[in-house]
Amino acid sequence: MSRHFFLAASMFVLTACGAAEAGSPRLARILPPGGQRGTTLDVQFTGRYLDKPEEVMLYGPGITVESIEFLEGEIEINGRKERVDPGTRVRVRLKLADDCPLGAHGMRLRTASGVSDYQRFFVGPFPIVEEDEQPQKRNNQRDAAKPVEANTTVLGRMNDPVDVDLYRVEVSRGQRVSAEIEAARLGIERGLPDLHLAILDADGKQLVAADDSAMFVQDPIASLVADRDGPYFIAVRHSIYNAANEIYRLHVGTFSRPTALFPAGGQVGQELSVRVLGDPRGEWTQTVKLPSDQPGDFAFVAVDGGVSAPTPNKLRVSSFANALETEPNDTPEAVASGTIAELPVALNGIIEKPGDVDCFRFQAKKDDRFKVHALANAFGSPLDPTITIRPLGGKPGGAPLRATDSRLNQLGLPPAGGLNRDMLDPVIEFTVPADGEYVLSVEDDRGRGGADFVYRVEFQPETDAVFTYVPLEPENQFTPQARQTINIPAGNRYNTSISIFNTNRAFNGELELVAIGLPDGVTMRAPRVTSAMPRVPVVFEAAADTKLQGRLVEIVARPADGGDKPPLASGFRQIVAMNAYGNNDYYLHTVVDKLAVAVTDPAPFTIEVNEPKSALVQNGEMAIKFAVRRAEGYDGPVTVSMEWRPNGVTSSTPITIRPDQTEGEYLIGAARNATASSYEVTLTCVSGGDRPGYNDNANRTYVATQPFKLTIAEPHIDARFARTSIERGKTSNVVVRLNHLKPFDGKAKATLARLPRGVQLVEPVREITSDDKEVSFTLRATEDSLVGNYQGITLDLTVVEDGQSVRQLSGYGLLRIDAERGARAGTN
Amino acid sequence: MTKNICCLPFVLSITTLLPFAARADSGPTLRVFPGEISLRGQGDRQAIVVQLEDEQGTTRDVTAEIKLRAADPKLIDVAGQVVRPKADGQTRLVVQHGKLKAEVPVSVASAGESRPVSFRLDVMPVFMKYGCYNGSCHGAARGKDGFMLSLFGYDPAGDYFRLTRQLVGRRIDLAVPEKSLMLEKPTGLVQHTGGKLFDSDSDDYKTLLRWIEAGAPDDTGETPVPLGIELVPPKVVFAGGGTTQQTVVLAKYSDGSVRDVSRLALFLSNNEAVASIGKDGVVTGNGRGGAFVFTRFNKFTVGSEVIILPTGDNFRWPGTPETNYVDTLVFDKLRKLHMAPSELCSDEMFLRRVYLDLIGLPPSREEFDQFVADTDSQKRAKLIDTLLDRDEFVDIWSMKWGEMLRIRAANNQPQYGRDAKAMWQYAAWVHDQMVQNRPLNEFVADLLTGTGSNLNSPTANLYTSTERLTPQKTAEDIAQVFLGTRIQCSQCHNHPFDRWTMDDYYGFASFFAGVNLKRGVEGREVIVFNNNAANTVEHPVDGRRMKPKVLGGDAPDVEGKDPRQSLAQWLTSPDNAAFSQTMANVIWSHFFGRGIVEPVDDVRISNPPSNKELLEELGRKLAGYGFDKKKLIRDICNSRTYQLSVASNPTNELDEAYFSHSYVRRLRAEVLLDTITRITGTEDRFPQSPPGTRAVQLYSGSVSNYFLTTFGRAPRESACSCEVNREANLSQALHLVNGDTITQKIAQSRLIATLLGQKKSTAEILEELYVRTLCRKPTAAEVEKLSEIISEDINNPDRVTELASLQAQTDQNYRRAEEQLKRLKADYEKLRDDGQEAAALTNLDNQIRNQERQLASIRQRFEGNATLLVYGDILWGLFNSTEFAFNH
Repeated sequence: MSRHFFLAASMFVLTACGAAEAGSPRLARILPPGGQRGTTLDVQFTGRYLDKPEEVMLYGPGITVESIEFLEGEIEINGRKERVDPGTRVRVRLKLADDCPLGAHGMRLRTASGVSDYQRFFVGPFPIVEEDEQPQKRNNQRDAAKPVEANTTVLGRMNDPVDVDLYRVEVSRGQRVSAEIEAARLGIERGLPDLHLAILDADGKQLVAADDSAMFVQDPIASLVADRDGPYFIAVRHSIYNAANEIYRLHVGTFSRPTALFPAGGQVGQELSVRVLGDPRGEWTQTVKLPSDQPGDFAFVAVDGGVSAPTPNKLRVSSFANALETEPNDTPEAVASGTIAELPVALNGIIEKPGDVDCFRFQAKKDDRFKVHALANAFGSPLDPTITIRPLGGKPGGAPLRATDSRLNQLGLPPAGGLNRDMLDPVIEFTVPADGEYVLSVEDDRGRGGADFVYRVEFQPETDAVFTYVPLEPENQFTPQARQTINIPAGNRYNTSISIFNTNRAFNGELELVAIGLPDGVTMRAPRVTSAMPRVPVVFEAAADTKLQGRLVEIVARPADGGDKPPLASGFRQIVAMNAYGNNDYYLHTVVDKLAVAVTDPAPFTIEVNEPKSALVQNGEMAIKFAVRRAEGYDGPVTVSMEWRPNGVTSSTPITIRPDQTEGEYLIGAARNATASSYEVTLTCVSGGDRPGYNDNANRTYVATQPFKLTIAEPHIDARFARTSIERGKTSNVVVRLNHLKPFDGKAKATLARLPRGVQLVEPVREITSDDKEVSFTLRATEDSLVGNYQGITLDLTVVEDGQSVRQLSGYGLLRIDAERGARAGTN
Repeated sequence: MTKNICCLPFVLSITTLLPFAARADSGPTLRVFPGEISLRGQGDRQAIVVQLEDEQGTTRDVTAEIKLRAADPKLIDVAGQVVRPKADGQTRLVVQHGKLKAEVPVSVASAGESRPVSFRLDVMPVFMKYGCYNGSCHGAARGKDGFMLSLFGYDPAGDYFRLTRQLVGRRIDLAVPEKSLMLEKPTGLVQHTGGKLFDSDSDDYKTLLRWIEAGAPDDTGETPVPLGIELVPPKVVFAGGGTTQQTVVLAKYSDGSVRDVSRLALFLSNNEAVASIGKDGVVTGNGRGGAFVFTRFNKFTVGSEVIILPTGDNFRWPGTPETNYVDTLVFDKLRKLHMAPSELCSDEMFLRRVYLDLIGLPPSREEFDQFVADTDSQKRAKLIDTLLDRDEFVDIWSMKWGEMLRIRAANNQPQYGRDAKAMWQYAAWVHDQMVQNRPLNEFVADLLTGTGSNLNSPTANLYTSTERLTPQKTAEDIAQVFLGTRIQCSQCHNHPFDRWTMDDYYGFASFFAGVNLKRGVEGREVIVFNNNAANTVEHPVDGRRMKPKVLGGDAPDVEGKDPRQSLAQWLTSPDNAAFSQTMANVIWSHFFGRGIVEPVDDVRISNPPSNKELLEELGRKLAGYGFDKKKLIRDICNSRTYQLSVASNPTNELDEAYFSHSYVRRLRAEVLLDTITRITGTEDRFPQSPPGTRAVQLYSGSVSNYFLTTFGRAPRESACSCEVNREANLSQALHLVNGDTITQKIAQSRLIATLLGQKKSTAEILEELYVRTLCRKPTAAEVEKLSEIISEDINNPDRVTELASLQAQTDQNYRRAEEQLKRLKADYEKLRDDGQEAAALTNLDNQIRNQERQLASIRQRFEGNATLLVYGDILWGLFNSTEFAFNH
């Protein structure tokens, strides 16, 4: 070990008080999962390793945290005493502002050891009552139905697979009876609460039932107009009588539950008159002032008669104007030319009946580029749109362009496992082939249609954008959020990989990754990324005296040479998958645009690497030496691996450093086709042994080495073998001609590798210099050798550079082994 | 003339080949086959078959006894029973048998020309005849002994190539034709794994030799292809076994010629016990009954019916009354077979049968009493109407369709969309259609064109039912379920025992070429959609793109459309006899335990219906009723045929196919379990089902329990009707005897306790149990015997004690109390020995007394229960009786 290396390691001060290992907290659920706006309530964060809670990190406005309390030992819940397992419970008091946006609010819990998973909390307009079903007090019959006031949110639970929960609500004739379930949307851990909703009259006759809804997929909604005063019953059950213990939020009342809005969006700052569709009392309009700052999604809450809808509908806010369809427009001929004044534009329409086709005509100039994105699934429309663009009357520009679906990156979303509904909304990347008039047509993929089959086609200029994300860990079946937060122990380092994706064309050139809003005292180091190498290893480092803190950070990619290039849209996009239901499939995909970064308690160990002086040659191997330094009081094993490797570089399996060891070697190899270049890499060191995984129920602390340079170079020598034969029991010479590609100093050790069975080297190692044109070895074939041709003998060369051995293999020789002269055939 | 083959594509030949029949005013009729002779070319020949039909309809082969004479001997040569051409022209062949005389027109053309030997017309049939094309021989996928032919000759061009271009000079030696392996092998001159097949003086040898001598040419230009074949005579009725009948096979070719191909055709029988047929086409009657003999030539298979009547049975038709057309047609057939139908079954038997068949549940005591007491002559018909309107009737048919449509959840492969939720919606849709009594043709048409999400467009699930969605597999399943036809064989070769060719198969498969799946908005959802642009599949032999073509029909115009629309229109049309008859047969088989074609999904020429006229009429009726299955079921259930007794008479005791008596059928697993549950008044709980779900109502094949699996509930893994197992086997018997289903249900049941509570007498309780389980009152002998056992058990204090001990042994609470008593006594003794205070001892003593009292009271309860136990055993015995487990 070099002296230099120890110097580097001693720069880090280890504090003995942090000697206990601690990993990132795992937050499984927030209970209750929602609350009424304008109230303050206590919720419990449950999970594992939640010790020493520090902060709730919020992703949006409207909620403030009043207190955080770690619960241990015996606690009182709903008047009952309960023992909690260590590290599983945190009580948080949330204040929901009067103007708190309705819907889901993302949050994470930060503790002294890191940032938890992302979970959501749901804010509604109605007061909350609990179902409170007891074995002696079931509400599974109409006569035992739980009475609830109109416009209430019930917090309920499915007690068993065949549980039916009944609620009784009094309304007046002409009022709506509306119900909406939030269950699948809650995104709680594994499984999928798939519930069925029905509204019954006073006699128990089912008036309307819903299993799914286009808006919320597995969460049903139902609404009708009461034809008499009196009680109505809401029945909630499992859609196919399976599973148990799911919780749900049921909104019951006289509210309007729109299934669609038309138009489904508008221009920034616009005062938009919205037709509210899907109301059993008929369509009505509501005017809304769209935000004037930037395009995106806008939560529209339908309010009728002073009663708000329980959850919002989505409106799109664009930087360009709306154009609305006017029927008849089933054919291009039916549409007047020039109805669309100019591009870009957002076209809005409804596929009103089965088989309906909506056509739009527009003028476009050659070589203009547009991204044509038909949105429907994005805001819960039942439509599955298909769009076609073709030149008006004829085909000067070739075949029509048709799209039924889109790719994640076209939607500005990173790769993710499972399905994403938004991908059913098609995108055409349209480069205008010639000046002229074109027709855009919209229809349903399966020829369906209906009054709320609303769509919006955004016809926008195509701009280049590059987004960053943390790639999913390969073993994330049950912990889809594993290692998607950055937890840097004070005075230590933490590594991750960051990848980029392009929304359309690949960016041509180098990009640098920049972190905006890092915690104080934290730095990020990342190599440059290119479209050829979109994924790079990134190391975060916190100075020794950094305080515990957390930030939501944006990681953007910027052209490395800056200056003359047009600005590149960029940002961070991470898909958070929720509700795993097997097969690596997830029901929910939520996008977060900030990376959670925390400075944690110091880790009880550090790792330093002895940067290799020499290059790893193609077809060669190299051992990387490293040293682990444990804090006093910590004597556990640690495991070292290289998480990011350049293409063509292979590595050994993770190496466990036993408690009695402090040093180790990590073997890496380069394939013949590994790109010769210089890379910045890092080693990851994790507490514990035995091949740590993410599902192993152990809490682990991750640290990293300093980034170090790894060079992959051409080999020193290209070896050529002469064909050789050898008789069993005799010796023979193998001559290897040496073509020197890169000279080396001094003497290198040469030997032959991959010899066949029973063939030995008389003199195991020969020494060669850069001047030798050939080297020969004497082989002996023993009795064990098998007669025949053997291919694959290779030269094994070890060059010592800067005190470090660099090994390479070269050549591919043929050796023929003959039987003893005079031997009988078949005596092999 | 036979109608067997009228569905074949050579209807045109039927008129020309009508047999000539000479009928005296009364007395026997002479039938000559073929009815018209057309000879073409020098080598042509035609054999004649003559049948004598007597007044009873029995036939006799008189071919050997007739005298043949040419009206104009210049034109034809008559030798034996064979006619050969001499000169072109028209003449007549005069057939004389005793006093009966008949004439057959003969036309001769091209008498001077000899047709060159053709590979397809002459050589290939020889291979076919000797089985060279079989899978066990050279037709195997890798050939045999280095020589491969296509299976059943599906690839003539390939066969020609392999014969003439492989092993040049050996397989075919043009220089010395006799030395060709092709001739040396089958004649046994060179060792041949397939053995010696023919001699070098046989016609077949000569055909092959002539072909090689001619240079082994491939057929050039338009080779006439067979359009169809015919086997004559179409019907043979033997009086007694041991008699024979020569048959002749005629093939009609595309050039208009008709050839006698008897020498080249293959013969087989579907019932060797009744009639066998030799390689020479001679039918021999063996035992009493009906059978079909078939011949296969080229890609065609046709059959003739053979009936063998007992000799001298003096059969007289009993004049059984007929209720409706079902009886007319069934009895017609029976009359021909000299079988008398059984008697009408009793009211009790009918009641149980019709309840179990129509609603899958036994009648309740009240329903039993009401029906038995009813004196209305129309009470059976009224009951049928009542049951047809019951909700349980709908459940039975939802279940049957669930089986046919393979409604089975499989959550492990979400990409195929068979999630439990989708299957639940699918089953709910099917049930809803049954509730509405949706016409079957509309129901099927909806399914065939199913499109959209598996979760909210239920009919789309027709296309998620296979493990992997391929046009081929889909076509196979749809043909099997809706047309009763298994076309699987013709995926790789022309069907050996049916009419389907590879062209038919791939033409049908291409209806589904565009059907595809895509993932929906969540993991469990897939969307079925049709790509209208893709409407062809590739023929694997020659790479042709096959366009959609219906089985045995036309190619509709589907350009730019979803071809499934045309398919649905054709398939469910009232004119499509295959569909209406298959549906009718499925319905029929539910009520008789076997189809008129059995199995119901294996309609093929070599598996003919046991009563063709009946099947045709049922199909017509169903179509005529607008595919309202209830109407057809009403006809069936009201027929005397359905209401016949299970007891047979000497004439019909061997009958298993002609419905001359009711067949004993084991109850299906679901019905059996539901029946036991209903009788015991208990409840079954199945996963993924709401409380109160009966086994018949289970939505998915994957939801089952041990009882149902043991008794053969269909797992719904394939489209095959064979999945429902109604065989009785040992594990079923063991489960009934030793398993926990019945024991637990009797233990949970309140039935006996209620009856005892009502202070019913032994005879009354026995009657109640018999009526509930077997739907009849016990016989006097049964009552006497059982009452004896009961009184012995219940009135015998020793026996009661024994029964109580038996219960005590198995009751955990009792045993625990007993152990506690033991402990207390031991403590008492210990304390006494230790010389403890009296107060402590008294306390313990009190405890012991208390415990003893408690035990005594439990024992008393057990003794009371002894009565329950005894009646429970009788109920158990009834459940285990064959009479209970079967419908009869």
